Amino acid sequence: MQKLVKKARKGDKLAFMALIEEYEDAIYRTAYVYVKNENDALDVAQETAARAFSRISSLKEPEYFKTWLIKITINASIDLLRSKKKIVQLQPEYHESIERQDENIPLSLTLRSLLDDLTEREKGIILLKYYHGHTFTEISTIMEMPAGSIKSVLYRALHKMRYQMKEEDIYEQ
Amino acid sequence: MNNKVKEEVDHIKVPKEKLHQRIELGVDQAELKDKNKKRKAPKWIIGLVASAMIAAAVWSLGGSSLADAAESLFTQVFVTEETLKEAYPEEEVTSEGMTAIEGQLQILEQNLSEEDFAEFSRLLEEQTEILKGMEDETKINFTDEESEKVEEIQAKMQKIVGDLLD
Repeated sequence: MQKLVKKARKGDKLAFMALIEEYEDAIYRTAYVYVKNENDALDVAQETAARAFSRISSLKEPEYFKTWLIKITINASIDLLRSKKKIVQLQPEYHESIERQDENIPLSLTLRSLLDDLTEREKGIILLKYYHGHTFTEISTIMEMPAGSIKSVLYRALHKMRYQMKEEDIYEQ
Repeated sequence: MNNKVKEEVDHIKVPKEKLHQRIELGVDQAELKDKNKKRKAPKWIIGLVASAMIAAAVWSLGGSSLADAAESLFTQVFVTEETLKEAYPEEEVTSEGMTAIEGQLQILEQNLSEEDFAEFSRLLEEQTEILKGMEDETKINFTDEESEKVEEIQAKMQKIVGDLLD
């Protein structure tokens, strides 16, 4: 890994591709949780790869490559959502078409709740904790928030998800 | 919840081939962008150039090859040919002098951010306007007011270049 990062820092594209290849799925799934559709998740993946390749010289500790990559993915996802929000305000019909698309995808209650009920920050923390398996200290570094706040947001997010899932259970019965 | 989130997120179907292509495309784009990035000059050159520009910029221009230089960066960015003629009616500009100024400007453009270069250009233009309007028709002696204005402009220019050199 260290050798590949060293080569990638010098602009070696093949070395960079070898590094990022292992995390392609993680990038896509992380992005998907934010943007909720395939096309946008692919856009985020492309943007993440571009940003990561351009900025790899700023990666000081190669062992944190994945963490660094996921942070870029989260930021790229949030940027895309914000840019879309601006467009949606001008074209309300676009928003409706996205919502209709989403309704066609069968999702479990947990995943649906993760996608729909959480804020961007809550999604990030849930993903980093339970999907990527980071510690509170690591999440605190990635999200640039105190560990105490991370815990509060996480518990609030879990509470929301559980509440939402219960509610949906009741309606489905 | 721990296992459940992981399990559920892992269920998100990944369009592997498309994803790999897009990742590759992203890297290609970044590579192309890096290649197109302007080459940066060493700091000492930037300092030297900036000093030259700040100290003497417009004076060294002088006059007559302006027609050739009408499309040059200098005339595009700073002043029109007419403005220059008005500002320096008595000056004789050699094409070498124009080329040197042009080269200096390009170095600054390549090394300053877009915003700073725009501000630097604006200040230089402001300075040209003061020179153009100098009360002394020989364009040699400043009045106190003109001198104060030019000094203020030059201090701002030095700050822009100084920030770059920090």
